[in-house]
This record gives sequence, C-alpha cells and structure tokens, in this order.
Amino acid sequence: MDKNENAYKLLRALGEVDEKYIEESMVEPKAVKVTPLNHRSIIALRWAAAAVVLITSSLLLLKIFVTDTSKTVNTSNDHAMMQEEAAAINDDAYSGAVSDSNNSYGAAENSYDAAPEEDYLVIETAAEGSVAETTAATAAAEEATDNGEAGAPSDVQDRSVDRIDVDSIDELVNMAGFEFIVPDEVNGSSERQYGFYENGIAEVTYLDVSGETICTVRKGPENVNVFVNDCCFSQARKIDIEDGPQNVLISGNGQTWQLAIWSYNGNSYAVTTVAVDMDTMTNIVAAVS
Amino acid sequence: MEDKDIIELYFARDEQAIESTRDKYGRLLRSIAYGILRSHEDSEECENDTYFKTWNVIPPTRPNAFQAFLAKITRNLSLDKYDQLHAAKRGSGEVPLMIEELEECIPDAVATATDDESDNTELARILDEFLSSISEDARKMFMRRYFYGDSVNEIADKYGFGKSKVKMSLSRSRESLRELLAKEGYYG
Repeated sequence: MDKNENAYKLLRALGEVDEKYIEESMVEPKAVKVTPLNHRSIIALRWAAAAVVLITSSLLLLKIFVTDTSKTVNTSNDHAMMQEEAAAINDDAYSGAVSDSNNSYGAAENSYDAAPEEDYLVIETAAEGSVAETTAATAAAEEATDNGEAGAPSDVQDRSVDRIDVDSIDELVNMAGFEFIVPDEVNGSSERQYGFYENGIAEVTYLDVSGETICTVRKGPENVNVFVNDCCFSQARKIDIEDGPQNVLISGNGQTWQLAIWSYNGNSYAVTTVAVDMDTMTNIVAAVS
Repeated sequence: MEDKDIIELYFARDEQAIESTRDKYGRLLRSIAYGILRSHEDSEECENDTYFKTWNVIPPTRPNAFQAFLAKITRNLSLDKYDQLHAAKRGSGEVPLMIEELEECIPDAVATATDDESDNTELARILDEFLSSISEDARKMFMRRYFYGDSVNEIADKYGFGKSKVKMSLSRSRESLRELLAKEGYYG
C-alpha cells in the first residue's frame, strides 16, 4: 500500500471520528435572505405609490390642458431639463443593459399594482418620468430611509425568481457558469455573501460588521434583468472605465452615487451601494468583471 | 421538529421521517456531498441515498447526534460515489488535492497497512486523539478541509480568516498528525 492509498485511507477514516468534532465544525448553509419591510415603511411606500399615481394623473391632465390652450407655453426650467436629461440617459442605459424591453420599466401605476402584499422594498418608477415623478419617488425613498429601512436601495430584480444561497465565490461561479470577479471588500465591509438566481444572475452582497448590506454586485446574461429599481435618484451620468466597460450609467443624489449599471462582453452588471463618492463608485465598477 | 421527534418517526416506520429529515437537513447534506463530488446532480443522489440508508439503519441504531450521524453517512456515500465515478484514477475536484495533502501526514517508513475494519477504527481513534490535541480553530479548519471537502478559499470565507492563515494552520495540523501517526507506530 503506497502513500497515496494510505492517505486515502486516512481520508476515509476521518468519516469515523467522534461526532462532536463533526458538529463543532458544521456550518449551516445560509438560508435565503429576504428582508421584509416593517409596517411604517409599507405605509410610506403606499403613500408614495398614491402620490406618484396622483401626480402622474395631474401631469397628464395638465399636458392635455396646455396642449389645448396654448402651443407656446414653455413648462421647462433649467432644473427640469437637467432632470429630464437624466431620465433620458436612464432610459438609454436601461435599454442597453436590458434587452427585453417588454420587461422594462413600465408606468408607475402598473408597477405599484403589481406590488405583492408582502411588500418588499422595491420602488419602480417610470423611466420616462418627469421631474415631479422623480421627486415624489425620491421623497418616498427618503421617507423609507428616515424609517431606518433603506440604507442602500433595494434591488431585487424579480420577486418571482428564487435565490439560492451558496457558500463561496467558487461555488457561485460553478453555478453561474461564468467567471465573476468582484472586489475583496467594499467600503470596509466585513463579510461577503453569495447568491444565485434561477434566471442566471450571480450576486455578491457585502455586509458591514453589524450585518447590514452596504453593497450588492450582480452579473447576468445580457438578456436578463440584473436591476429594476430606479427609484430614488436625482441625477445620472455615464462614465467610461479605463481598459474596462464604457458607458457605465451611474445614478445618485447630490454629490454621491448609489447605482451603476453597464453591459460588457455579453453580460449585464449592476452595483448598488450605500451613497459613495465618484472615485469609490468608479473603483468598485473597475474591480468587477 | 426536534431531532428526537424525527428519530421517533423512523422508529415508528413513518415515512414522514424522511420528509422531516429532508426539510431540516437537506441543504446541509447536499452541501457536504457537493464538497466531495462538486456536482449538483451527484450530490442530490447522495442526499437521497442518505435518507434511504438512514431509513434502513434506524432502527435499530438510535443516533445521539443526529445531524453528525447524517453527515457521516452522506460523506461516506459521497466518497463511495466518488470512487465509483473515478474507478480508474482519482479524477478532478477537491478529493485528489485532499489526498495529496494528506500524504504529508504519512511517515516515510510506510508499513503495509491492513484493510480490515479494525484498522479503520484504530485510525479513527488516532484521529480523535489528534483532533483533541489541537486548538479549536485549527480543528475546525482541518475538519472543514478534510471531512467536508471545503477548499482553502471556502474555509477562509466561512470563518473570516485570511487564506494564508488557513493554509498555515492546515500545514501545521498535517505535520502534527504525521508526528502522531509515527509515534503510534501506525505506519512507521
């Protein structure tokens, strides 16, 4: 019997060791993590939904009124133009990153009608949204944030798709069938979790020391939604990464950024994070492939 | 459902025992099998074989630690499956790497070991002694690597250690085991 066979015998004998050592080293596979909203946030979101529907209706009526009474009324101002430009960029980028246009971002009322009773934190607004719509949605998101629920924007891409938690990046890559390179840590994160959605999306979640999600990175086939939430951002911009993806759409509020989506080499990517500055967001995007 | 209640279902020959076991430990057992086989299909097969074998051995066996009992069965079945799949040679995945690493534990003056059951039992006794002699962290890493088949990266992820720390700990543990095996005169 050579060393190799003896080593294999040793490996088999490990299956007969005292059960206390087996239990001690047992790590329960992580359960699927779905965070339901609390009652206050649900109410806030319902109010926001109602506000969006109301404002959308008002704008439609206003548009009809303005069209009928005067063709020369200019309803835009500089701020509004900037917002609409941002919304237009959003539109372009989403249509680039999400090839299934039928499954993109429909009217706000439809999205809210589709919201399930369980009320997970997903706010979908019209990509063609006006200033008022964006503002209302932002206010809703801020209200939710005030309630302590939305440190980072929620980003469940499709609630009907099951997520399977896995234990390591190797296992995730094995399930996904594609390479997925992600940063070791983001913004001082202390833990990474890995999940695979049955529609082909691989996901790495970064948690801080208290277990709160601070960043999520997703990769999937180009024809699958990796992201559907464009709820709460007042600005958007396209950036290019040196020796990396071009036309990366980043969105955020004020001087900070919370979302990046892009397509590269036949795959779609999305990063959602707590508010970070431009350099940090660029570094995260550059580290993902 | 508590383990003791599931075990009672086995004793009552109630097939709900299998469903309850699957509900409570299915993911765990699949993950153990996957650590050895690195194939989801084969892992599911081993998981199902585990239920079948458990059904056949309880009764008369009454496990004290049910999940460890199941883990042992799954691991042994997974290694059997691995042998079956790679009859000609060890093949790919973590198992050949584990064996290669464990070769370091085998003292140079190797005696011909016997293949009988008592030999395996004696080895398990030495392994128990070895495991009791190392630190808890080192023991967990050793078990994750050689019982559950985790890669170094996976162990580092699970426990939040650096990869180099895991590698160093495993290397030291193998050296300790080699010394103990030599001292026991098992191979030397």
